[in-house]
Parts: sequence; structure tokens; C-alpha cells
Amino acid sequence: MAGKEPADTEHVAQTDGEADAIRMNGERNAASLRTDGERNATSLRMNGERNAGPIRTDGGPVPLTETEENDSSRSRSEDEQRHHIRDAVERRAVVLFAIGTTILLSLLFYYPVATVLVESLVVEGRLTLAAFADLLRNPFYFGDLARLFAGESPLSVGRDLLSSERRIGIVGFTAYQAILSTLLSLALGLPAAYLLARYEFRGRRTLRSLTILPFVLPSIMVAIGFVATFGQNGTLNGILSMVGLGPVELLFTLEAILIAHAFYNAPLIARVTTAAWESVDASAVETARSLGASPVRAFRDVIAPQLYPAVLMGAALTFVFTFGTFPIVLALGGFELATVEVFVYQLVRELNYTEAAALAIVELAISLGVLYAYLRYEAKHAVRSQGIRPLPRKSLFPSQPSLRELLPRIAIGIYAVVALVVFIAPIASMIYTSVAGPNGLTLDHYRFLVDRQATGAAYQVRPWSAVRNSLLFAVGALALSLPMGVVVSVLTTRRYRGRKLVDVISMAPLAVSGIIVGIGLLRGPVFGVEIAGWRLAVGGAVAIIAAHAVSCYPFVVRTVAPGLESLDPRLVESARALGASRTRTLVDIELPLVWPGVVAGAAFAFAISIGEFSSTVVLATGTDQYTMPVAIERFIGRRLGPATAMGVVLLVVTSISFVIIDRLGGESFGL
Amino acid sequence: MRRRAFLGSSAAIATGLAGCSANPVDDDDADDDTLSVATYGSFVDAPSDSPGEWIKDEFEERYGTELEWHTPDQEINYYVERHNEEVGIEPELYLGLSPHDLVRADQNTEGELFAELDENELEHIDDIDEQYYFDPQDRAIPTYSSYCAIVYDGRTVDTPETFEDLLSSEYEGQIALSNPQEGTTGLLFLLWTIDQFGEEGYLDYWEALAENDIRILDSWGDVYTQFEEEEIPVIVSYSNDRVYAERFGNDLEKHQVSLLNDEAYANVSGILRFADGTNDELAHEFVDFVLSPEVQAVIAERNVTGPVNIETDLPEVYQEFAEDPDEPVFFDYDALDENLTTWVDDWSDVIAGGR
Repeated sequence: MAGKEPADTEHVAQTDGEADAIRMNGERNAASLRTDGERNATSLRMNGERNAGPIRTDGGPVPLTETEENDSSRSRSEDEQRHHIRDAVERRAVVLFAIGTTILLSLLFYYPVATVLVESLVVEGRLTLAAFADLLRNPFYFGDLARLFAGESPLSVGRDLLSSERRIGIVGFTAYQAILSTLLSLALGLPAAYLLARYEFRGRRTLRSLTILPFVLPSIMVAIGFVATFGQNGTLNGILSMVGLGPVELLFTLEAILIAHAFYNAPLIARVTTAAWESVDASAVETARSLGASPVRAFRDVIAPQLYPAVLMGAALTFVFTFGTFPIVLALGGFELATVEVFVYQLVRELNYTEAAALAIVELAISLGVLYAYLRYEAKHAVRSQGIRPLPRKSLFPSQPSLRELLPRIAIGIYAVVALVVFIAPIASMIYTSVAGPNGLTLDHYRFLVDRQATGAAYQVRPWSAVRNSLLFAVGALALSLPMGVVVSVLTTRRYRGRKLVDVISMAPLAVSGIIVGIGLLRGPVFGVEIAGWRLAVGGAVAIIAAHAVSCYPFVVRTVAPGLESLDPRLVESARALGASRTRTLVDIELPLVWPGVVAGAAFAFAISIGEFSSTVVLATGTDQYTMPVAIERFIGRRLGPATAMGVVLLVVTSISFVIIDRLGGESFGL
Repeated sequence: MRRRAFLGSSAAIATGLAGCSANPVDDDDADDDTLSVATYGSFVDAPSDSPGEWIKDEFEERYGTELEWHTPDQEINYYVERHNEEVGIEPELYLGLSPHDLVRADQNTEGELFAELDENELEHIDDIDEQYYFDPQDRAIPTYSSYCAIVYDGRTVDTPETFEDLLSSEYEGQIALSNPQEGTTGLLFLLWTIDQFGEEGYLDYWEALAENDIRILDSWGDVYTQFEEEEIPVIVSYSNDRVYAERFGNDLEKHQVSLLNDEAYANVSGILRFADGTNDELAHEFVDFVLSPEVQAVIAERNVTGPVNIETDLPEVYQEFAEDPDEPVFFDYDALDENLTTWVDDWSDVIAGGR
């Protein structure tokens, strides 16, 4: 992709920067556009020459079909023919990928999930909404609102909801804690984005690539880290008592859940916001400043509007994840704080699919509703800009200390302490647990991993196979989900009615309860279909990779689509008018301009695949397909050592992978 | 046989290439040399020790056949799903099914998921203690039992001896158990309280427990984490806890077991025959093998669970460190069948409702 063609992309970028500058000055006359077009034409022509591709070398905007005819009539040599086929394939690549994506999603997500969700509507062979009616009228789930659904007057329900005696039910509580979790994640994520996007310091890139590490940690690991950090005898209380404060009792409270949710999701917000911040074009800020705007004003009017979409996207995703939260709530909070997903799991375990499916649909509807609201916002507030020249970073340690220079740095220092406690301490505790034994430090737990590798039977989970499978699946899922995500981004940023609806439906893999997907995968691909006396089933490594890609690709869409949306449509139009295929326009012009988003999407895709659990265990056709999280789960026992040692292996392997992805992805475009 | 070999290899190639498989639906000529047995994961793959390894090696050697373990993540629900979707079940037997699992499976399957084993084919059946039988339809044969009990840190808290003790202020915020909806120990404890206080009284007891800040966490693993990290000194776990503590060289003062009111709620695990099974001979041989005193003793040692065969010589470590009640308490199948869902639902209303 773009990385391979530096000369080309640079050229386009330059053109674009100029176009942008021209626009900033408000000179939208034909002449400037012509310059724009001409430059693009040059770049495309070079392109065409190198590939002997779809673009006529004699220049000029000629419709595509004509080009095709000319080409084929000119010569029918074998070579030309081969090029012709390749061009045809390339031209239709977007369409082909779109079809492939649709098939894959239907096979491994929509159809399987539908087989379960339909159970809420069809009870004993009859179509009915009774399950939903029962659910909505149940105060256990909906609190006082249930009385509204049961037909009570909205006035009295409203009065009760405003009183201190109100009941919000499980669904209400789930939404409440999700909102609080989102706010806390924003509070802890945005300063990190500010630090990573605006300051230069040793290890910045490594730190940036490691931000989403918490994403891959299984909840049991986080629980171990959190107990050691926030427990009665934990690190935090140790620090507090040293300064004469505390102790604080954080575990088994709503606060513990919120902090754990922030642990998982603040990095998400930080990462997407950093990517957006790095895409802000410095020239726009410079123009504003040269016109007399103060730094604060320039931030508010120029930078902030370009960050809002990313910030809100991070917030919307955080809401969706924390709304569907499961094991961590019970691990650190307790059953009194149980959320909707806890009951979906219980109902599935009880094999009560009717109620489970109804509840999962309610959950899904709320999550997708929030995503839809965000997508509408995103569409309305797309900022037309192409960040070519990112803002220069400030040094973390200023050469001339002045109050103005020091204040933000002091704030960063305070934030660093908080981040140390919330993000680093739990992970450090986890690492410590892996070397703690009854008589001091020990490597016994790592020896256990080595022994298990050496002597484990074929039907047992072995550490190295788990590492290898995790990496294999993650690389495969990445290779599959990147094109899937990019293609869906292209399709959902085109202008047509209802595209946001398509977009939101394509986000469903983020919001459907994991256990429902698991049952669906059993019924669909794993059990297969019977055709003419043969049972066709899908399972094993390839199916796991595909299922991972299904879970990963929404992240790619969410990190790539906003960038594509904000690109000036004239860029694509001129390229297309000059004869570039849709695919070539995408690869040579659009993607390089949204590159930070693509890299962020790739990192998320990798992380999601590494951390995936439920589809993996359903689709694995044997223990030789188990991944690191599965190994951790298997190694949980009366000693915390073996599981935490495996957890540390997971940490190390994913850290290295994230750094590699980041290095391969490049700093950001143009640097 | 050649056709089978060909099909096998082509299926393997297909799996390798596309992750797809195609198998003939009427595949009746099952392999006579291989016995497939389904069970839960930790029976064959636990970080400490699991009886599955020994059983496989020993059985294969004695009977000259191959034993294949199947451990789907959804455990018995996986086979319920297969049965209901009519896709056939490969294993002959399911090992390690509790009464509450069987009740749920029966309530949610149509037709026969399990079939009765022929007791005439089982030499050791007469030595099985009558009190462990839990299936009125005689499909499940008991194989071992474990007991839900209180594990407490003897260095920091006093022994809780009765249910009422747990309500005292000494244990306020100091007790944890797994969610009865998900974790086995939590459910066993819930059933134990129902046995103790009756259907009318158990919810009051739980309200009092909630008042005393009992911690209801996701899984037994989470609960044990809190205990190991010395965050919570009293947990609901198994009566065999000290056997593990002894093995790992942990502080036995920390790992103390209390049987409340000198009782413990029993979790009996049974072995059942899948109705789809085809290999009668091997299936019965395996069940008889598992019931034999020698294998019962190995399971007692490696699984740290109580044997059901009265002829079994208990391993020393088990005798010394495991606490078994004189009279185990447990609900029979019919009581669970009638009430299980209601009991758990009413319980979650009391604990998680009111928000």
C-alpha cells in the first residue's frame, strides 16, 4: 500500500497541502482548481506509466469505458491482455471485497446471531412479542419505567423517577454505570492523548504503541492486578498511608468498576484522539494564529472541532463496551452491581433462550442507538481537512522555564501520577504475582509453563502453541479485517440515503453479547448444514481467523471512516475524472491521507484478536487451536502463579507486536 | 475402510485449507477402537493435577483401545445444543455431570439426550453407595462427590461454625462466594441455605448476608484470588482445600475448612450414556473401569474428590486433609426439577433487584 510508494504519495500530498492552503484563503476559483487537477494528473500519469495501468498516458480526463475500449482495440498481445485482466480486477476490487465482506459477515455473524435472536420472537412455533412485553414490564429490569410500559400514566411514573425513591432497574443501572465509566475514561484518556500528540520525549512512540495494551488483558488478570493495587492491603493504600492518608476501601464498590472500565477504555479514547490530533494540519493553526487568534482561541476554533469526532467516537465505543460489560463487574464489584450482560449469560446458561435473546436484543438496541446517534453527529460534523503537516511537538522539558511553559507540564506530571496508579500499578502487580511464591520470589510458575510445554498431552493447552496460535490468528485477522474495514468505510462514506443505518448495522459485532454469538456460531457454521446427505461445517483455524476479523473490522471502520469522510471529495473526483480506478484512488490518494487512522485501526484489530475468547473456544476443533487467553483461563487454579505467568507471556508478546505494528505503520504520513 | 481413509484425508485437507469440513450424515461405521468421552475442561487439563491424563493412559493400556477426551467450553450445554439441532453426538459418555446440570439439560431437551446404562454389564455397580444416586430415571451413575464448605484464613478470623455465625459483625465484608447463577460453589451454597432455612426462610437469610456485606463475585477463580491476595479471609469453596494447600506447600494455618453445622452440601458427579452412542461394549467397560476401587482411589487423589465405591481405599493425603461430612446434604432430582429456576430467580431478585 502507500508505504511502498513514497515518491507518489508524497507528490499527491504536496498537491493537497497546496489545495488546502488555497482553500484557507478562500480563493475557490477555477484557476486554483485547475492547478489542483493538473498536479493530480501528473501524479496519476506517473502512476499509470509505472503500472501500464488503467490511466491513459496521453493525459486528459477521459471516461473510463472509453479508455478500456481504446486499450483493447490498440493491441491484443498477451501482455496487454494480462494487464487488462489485472486492471479489470483492480477496478472491481472494492466491489469484490465488499461482496466478500458481506458473505463473511453473513456466514459468521448475522446469520448465526439471527438464529439465536429469533428465539425471542418465535416461541413454540408461533410469532409473538410476548417475551419483549414481559421484559419491558418487569421492574427488575426497567425499574419505574416498566410501569410506563405496563400502561401507567407517564405523569406518575415521571414523578416517581424524579423522587429519591426511584427505581431504575438493571437496564437503567447498566446505562448509568456505562455513562459514568465513559466520563471517567474521557477524563483519564484525553490527557494521555494531549501528551502523546503534543509533546516530544524519549520513548514517546513506544508509549503510544503500548497504550492499548490493557485491551488484551483477560478480566481475571485485571482482577488480580486490581486487588493487589486497590485492595485493603494494596499498593494505593500503602502509598496513602505513607503520606498519612487513607485507607480507602475501593473494592466491591461502583468506583472499582468504573476504574476498571477506565483501565480498559481510557487507552482506546487516548489512541483514537491521538490519531486525530496527529492529523490536524499545522498550516490551518498557523493561519489562525497569523490572523491574530490566541493559542486558546486557535485550539477552540481550529483544533478542537477536528478532535470532537474522534473523542465522541471513543466515548461512544466506551459506552457500548461498558454497557455490555460482564466478568469484570462481578469480579470487582459484586452481584449487587450486576449488569444486563450478567443476566444474558445466566439465561443462556439456564438454556432459557427466549428471555436471553429478548434481553440481548434490548441491550443491542440501546448500544446501536448510541452508536447511531454518534454516527449522525459524525456525518454532520465532518471537518474538511487533510492533515499533511502535523503540528510540531513541544519538548516535554522546556529550555526556558516560564509560567506559561510550566503550567501544562505540571498538569502532565499530576496526570502521570494518576496514570501510574490506574494503569501501571495493576500491570506491575500482575507481573509481581507471577514471580511470588510462598517463600519469596520464585520462577516456579514460569517453570510450570515450560514443563507444561514439554510434557503436556495433546488434549491439554500448551503455552507455546497458545502463543503461536494467538500470533497466527491475529496476523490473519489483521490481514483480513483491514481490507474489510476499509471497504466498509468507503461504502458508508458515500452519499446515499440510509448509509448511516448500514454503518450502524455493520457495527453490530461490537454490541452483540459474546455468549449469544457463541451459541449462534455453534448453530450456524460449527454444526453446519446438511446438503444431499453430507454435512458441511466450518471450523478450525481459518474459521477462527475469519471470526476474529469479524470482531476486529468495526474498529478499522471507526478509525478510517471519519478520515475518509472529512477528505475533500474533489480529490477523489479529480482522480476518478482522470481515469484512476476506485481502488487506485483509494490506495494512492485517500488511504495515505488517513494513514494514522489506518495504523490505529490495525493496532486495535490486532488487540481485539489477541484478546478474543468466546468465538475462539467455540470454533476451535481441538486444543491445538487454543490461544493465550484460553491458556490463561485453563491455568487458573488455587495458585495465582501459573495463570499470571501466562498473563505476563501475553503481555510481552503483545507489547512486542504493538511496537512492530507501529514501526511498520510509520510515524504518521509524510514524516 | 479405504473410503473412510479417503474421506478422512480429504476432510483434513479441506479443514486445513478452508476451515470447512464435509462428512457423510449417515456415518454409522463408527471406529470400534476409539472411545470418545466428554467431560469438563479441568478434569483433563488443570494446572495442578487432573485425573484425565492417568485415566486415559491406564484405560488405553488395559483395554488396548484409544480414549479420546472431548471438552467443549460450554460443557453439557454444547451437547444439549447439538441434540436439539439434531446434528448427532460423537462421544459415548459424559463424565462429571451434577444433578443441577442434569435437571437443566432434561428441561431443555426434547426426546432422549441420555440413555440408561445396562447395570448387568457393570461389575462394580453393587459397591456403589446408594446415597449418591440422584437420577430417578437411572441414567446417571455416581462417580465421585465433592463438598461445598467454608474455607477461612485461620490466622486472621475465628472458625465460623454455623450459618448464623456468618451474620456476625466479625465477618462483615469478609466473606466471598461465586455467583450462584454461574459458579458451581455459589449455587451449592445457595442450595445449602435452602436446605437449612427452607424455601420460606432462605431469602431472609440472604438479605441478612447482604446486610453483612457478603461479596458475590463472578467465578470461583475470582473468589479464590481474593482469598490468596488476603483481601477476603472467608470464602465458599470446597472441603478438599487443605489437600491442595498441603501439596503446594502453602500455609495450612491459612487454609482452614469449616463444615457449617457439621454438614456440607454434596456435589455428586455422575457419568451418563449419550443416547446417540453406538459402542455399547467399550462404553460399559469404561464406566466399570471408572467405578473400580483402584480408579476411584486415583480420582480421589488427583481430583481431590470423594469416591462413591465403598470398597475404595482412600489415599492418605485425602484421609488426612480432606474434610468429609458424616451426612452430606443435597436436594434430589425432583426437588431441583421443580424449584431450581424459581429459587435462583427469587434469589437474584433479592440481591440484585431494588435498584
